Amino acid sequence: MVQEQDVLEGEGMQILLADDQAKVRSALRLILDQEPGIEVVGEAVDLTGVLDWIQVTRFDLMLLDWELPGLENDQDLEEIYDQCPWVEIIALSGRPEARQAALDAGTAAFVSKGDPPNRLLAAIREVSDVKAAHAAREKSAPTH
Amino acid sequence: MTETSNPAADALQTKPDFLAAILNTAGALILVIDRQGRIVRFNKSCQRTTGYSFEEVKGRPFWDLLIPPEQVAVVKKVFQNLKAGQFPNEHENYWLTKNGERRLIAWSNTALFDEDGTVDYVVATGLDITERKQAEEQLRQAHDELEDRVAERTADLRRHVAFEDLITTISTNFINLTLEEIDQGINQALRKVGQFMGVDRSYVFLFSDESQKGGRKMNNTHEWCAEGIAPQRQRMQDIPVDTLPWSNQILMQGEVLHISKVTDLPPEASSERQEFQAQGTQSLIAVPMVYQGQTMGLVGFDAVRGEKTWSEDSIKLLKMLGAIFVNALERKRADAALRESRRMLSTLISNLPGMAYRCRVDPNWTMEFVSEGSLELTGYPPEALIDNHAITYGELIHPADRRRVHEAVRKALDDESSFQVTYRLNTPAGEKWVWEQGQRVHTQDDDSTAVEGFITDITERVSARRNLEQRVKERTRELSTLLEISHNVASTLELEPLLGLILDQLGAVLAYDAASMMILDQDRLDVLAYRGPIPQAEALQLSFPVGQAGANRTVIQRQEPVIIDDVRGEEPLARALQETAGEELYTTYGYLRCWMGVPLIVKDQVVGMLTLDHCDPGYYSSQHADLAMTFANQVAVAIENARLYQAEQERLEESERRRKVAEGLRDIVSILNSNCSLEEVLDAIVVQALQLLHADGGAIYQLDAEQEMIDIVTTHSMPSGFAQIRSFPIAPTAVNRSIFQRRPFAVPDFSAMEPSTDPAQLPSSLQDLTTMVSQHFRASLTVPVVVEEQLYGAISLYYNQPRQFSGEEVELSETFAHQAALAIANARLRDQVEEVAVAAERSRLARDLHDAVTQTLFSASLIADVLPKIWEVNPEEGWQRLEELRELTRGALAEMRTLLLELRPAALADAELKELLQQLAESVTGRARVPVSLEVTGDCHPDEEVKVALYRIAQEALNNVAKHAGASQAQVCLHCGPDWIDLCITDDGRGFDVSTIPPDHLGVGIMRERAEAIGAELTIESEPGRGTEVMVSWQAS
Repeated sequence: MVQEQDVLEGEGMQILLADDQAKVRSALRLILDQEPGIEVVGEAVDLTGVLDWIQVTRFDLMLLDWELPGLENDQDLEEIYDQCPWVEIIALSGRPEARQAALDAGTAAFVSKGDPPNRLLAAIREVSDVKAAHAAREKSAPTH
Repeated sequence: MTETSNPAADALQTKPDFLAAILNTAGALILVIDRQGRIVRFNKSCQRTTGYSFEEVKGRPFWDLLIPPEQVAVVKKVFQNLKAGQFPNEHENYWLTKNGERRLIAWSNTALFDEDGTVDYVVATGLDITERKQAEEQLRQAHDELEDRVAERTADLRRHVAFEDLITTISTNFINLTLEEIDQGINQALRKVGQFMGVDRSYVFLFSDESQKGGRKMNNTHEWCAEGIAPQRQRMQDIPVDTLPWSNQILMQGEVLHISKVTDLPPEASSERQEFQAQGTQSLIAVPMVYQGQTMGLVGFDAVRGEKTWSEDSIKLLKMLGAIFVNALERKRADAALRESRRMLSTLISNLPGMAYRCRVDPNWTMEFVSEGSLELTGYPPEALIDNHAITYGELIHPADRRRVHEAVRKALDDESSFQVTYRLNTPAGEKWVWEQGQRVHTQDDDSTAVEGFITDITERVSARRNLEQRVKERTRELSTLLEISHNVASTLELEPLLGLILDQLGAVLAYDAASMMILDQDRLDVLAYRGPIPQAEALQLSFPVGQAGANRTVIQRQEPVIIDDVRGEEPLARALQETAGEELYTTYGYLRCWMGVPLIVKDQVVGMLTLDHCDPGYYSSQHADLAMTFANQVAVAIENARLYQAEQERLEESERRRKVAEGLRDIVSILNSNCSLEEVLDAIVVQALQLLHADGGAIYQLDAEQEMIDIVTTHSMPSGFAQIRSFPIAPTAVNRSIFQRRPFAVPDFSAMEPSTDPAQLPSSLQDLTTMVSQHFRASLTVPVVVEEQLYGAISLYYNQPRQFSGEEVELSETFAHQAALAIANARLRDQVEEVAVAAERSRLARDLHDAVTQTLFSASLIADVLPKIWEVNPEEGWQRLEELRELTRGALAEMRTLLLELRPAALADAELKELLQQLAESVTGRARVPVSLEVTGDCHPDEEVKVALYRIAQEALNNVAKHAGASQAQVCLHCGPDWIDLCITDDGRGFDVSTIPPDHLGVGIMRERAEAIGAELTIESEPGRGTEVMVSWQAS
């Protein structure tokens, strides 16, 4: 399992989708499938689902619906970061006013569902670039 | 555990471009195998392509399942000897899918190594190129075929031209041959033609007279044999023609004997088969040598060392060769006869086609003696000429030739030699060419000078030679024109200019006063190219229904050229033409007398026609038709090429158009979901509609029913002054009637439209508007905009040119109207959210609902954004996604309606309870994808308070179903009695423990409060895993 993940590291961005609405997940998957270097590894419909996915699969980025059922407070988010500190989270919400709260809670970016789709793709690319830069720095001091 | 210094990453980094390219396409296969060939990783694309799930292949050597049996051994061996130096590499191979299909995959492999350089894993990235390969292969084949065809045609033509050259040279030579050289000339010609055609033997046979003893015989007079081929000439002398009855009968009838395979000869030709086989002949051709309608002999060619067939074109040339030979031989025979008759003068004089004479040397050439032949030669009997009784011979000589004749005779008299002279005679039957030979004679009284001689008619020979020269010239021109056309056909793909060019070139070899190329489009013939007196622009508009034009129809049905000698004549086809053209035959087509129509045939199908018009009646002959047909064949090839090219262009345009439609919809959805004002959104919609429907102007109108006016909401590219009108009264015009019935209204051509109302009766502002539109535009399309089931107004698109509107275009414009309705509904919503101070409870519901709309619009905008890309890769999926997009926007509208109800309490008071519950059920169905059914019994007309309370309870309960229950279906029942109402909401979801639920959770508190306020009883029954039932019973107090 571990070997397989190592092999695929560097292949691209692996993403988990977390949103309670099937039509939103399906649309997100559709648009991400068209992007090179991005693979959607799973979909969660609530917080429990997210935590389950963390146990079974490794991913680099989570698109998290800020109104995800079960997601009550900042502690829930901390729990996610505790279990997989390498994961970056982009918060998605139909309410633009949630932006500050989401960024304060430690998410890498916030995208309003009223924004045009390229805003979302830009945010993913930005997070991905920052991650790649981190990885390059760590490479110079291998832990192997 | 983070593996940062990763060899795989390094290896993959070395080929970033390739990787990017592969991953760019959605279907990249990624396969990871360990060094034993066992599958470690098998991505979605692999699974999709092979039909195996990861579980099925995990840990199994990949050749067990995926490699075709015949390659397994090789692949295994490669794996046993894996070396670092083999990577990275690229190759193509076949995979077997689960259902046995073979897919060709292009692989790019790299490997991961442990510290000592042994291969640990192989990472293979692949692309399924099966279809691409097949498509490439088909394209290549089609291209090769076309190349071959052009090459073949050109080679055929070249060969044909060379053959013609050869025959022309031979013919020219023969004209200059003296009588003694004729036999040698024939032998040489046999050799040259034999060598050119690559046959083994060529020969001439002459038939004797039937009157000969023992019947008609045949003699082999000339022969040429290739090296190593046995000559037959010695053997083939004095052979009775009856020995080969079947073949000689064909030749005697003046027909060509063409035998591709001697072994295939029919039983009735058994003598021939025996004879030809004895000579070793496998194939042969013999053309009759016909002179004055009679078969004098034959020219034949044998293939001994192989089989051979001859084309129609070659046969025509061989016939020409036969004619050259027979003319020469006849010339020789006539000459022999002449020599003989010199010995027998008296016979000669009475028998020869000519005139023997004796005349005095004076300006009149006064005749002293003239033979009987003078009547035939000059048209005058001997007695008319003798002593210049009726006419002098000198007068008969063509004035231009008199001096020459005189000089020739004078010179011969001075030299005491004989003279020969050729000149023209003007006879009552017309001009004749004659050949005269004579010499001075000494009579008893030596004083007078007389000349004796013979004059013969050589008109036929002279004109034959002239005709031949003319024909050779014509053929050369035809062939070079054909070659040029053939070249153009291969290099020009656009049809109209090429057809015009061909008409020009045709004009160089085939005279016409007008010519046209027409293409058959279903049952009409459209003129695509025209040369002639009618102005080009007018001619190119012409189109004839095949059913009405008898002459055209005949050409198409017979699939062969048709000539009408005189279109003003009486023959049936001329009559048909007169009927079709009517008066125009004497006006527009006044130049036309002789008409020729030639079909353009591609693969046995008539695709069009070439017509040639000439001002002289009877001008066109069947030779012209043959020539025109040759051109028509070239044109047909051009049309076929151009159609292939056009189909390809159309396919490209179609996919480009679809991409644009998808992009337009994407832009609109994203504007819709933005914070732009309604005016900006509507403006953007009109702009997109103009672009995608290729309109030249557009406007959105709003109906103001109270004022009975129509307002202009937004305009684009409309005439200046149009927008200043702002509004105009509603009038009973056709377009308004259609829009009020909520139907689209298309006007393909303003000028062809009858005004439904007298324009003078329209209000002045509407008159102004109508005038402005009709001055600038020629066509329009108007579709209704319906918001919340109310007619809001319409979108109109205007066009500069008349046009037909396809169903697809109307549908697309309706999509725009739909988007406009969405924008208007959205804007109203926003206004009302801002304006109305809503109660806390309502605002919570409103927020929930607005959230739902946002989610739906967000999904729609994502799909719309990616739609153009999907369309490029897979149009079929594109259509599917477009349908999904339409469903989402429809859903958004339904959600908005419910939301509006929340924001406008008056609407709640006006509506029936049954309708409110129906709408609620639909909204939840759309929002949560849980089907909700509604059952109503009895008459339910409670007062407003009860109605609102019941509606709220149902709303709260259904909200729980949508958000928490995880149900697969739900039901709302409403049973009404005269003074009681039961309402229940049930679902089959996960349920809950009623005893542990806090009183205010899940809106239970709110529901109870509502029930209590109207004195109703509320019960909730639920168990974990067994669904939930909420019941309200109300009794009138």
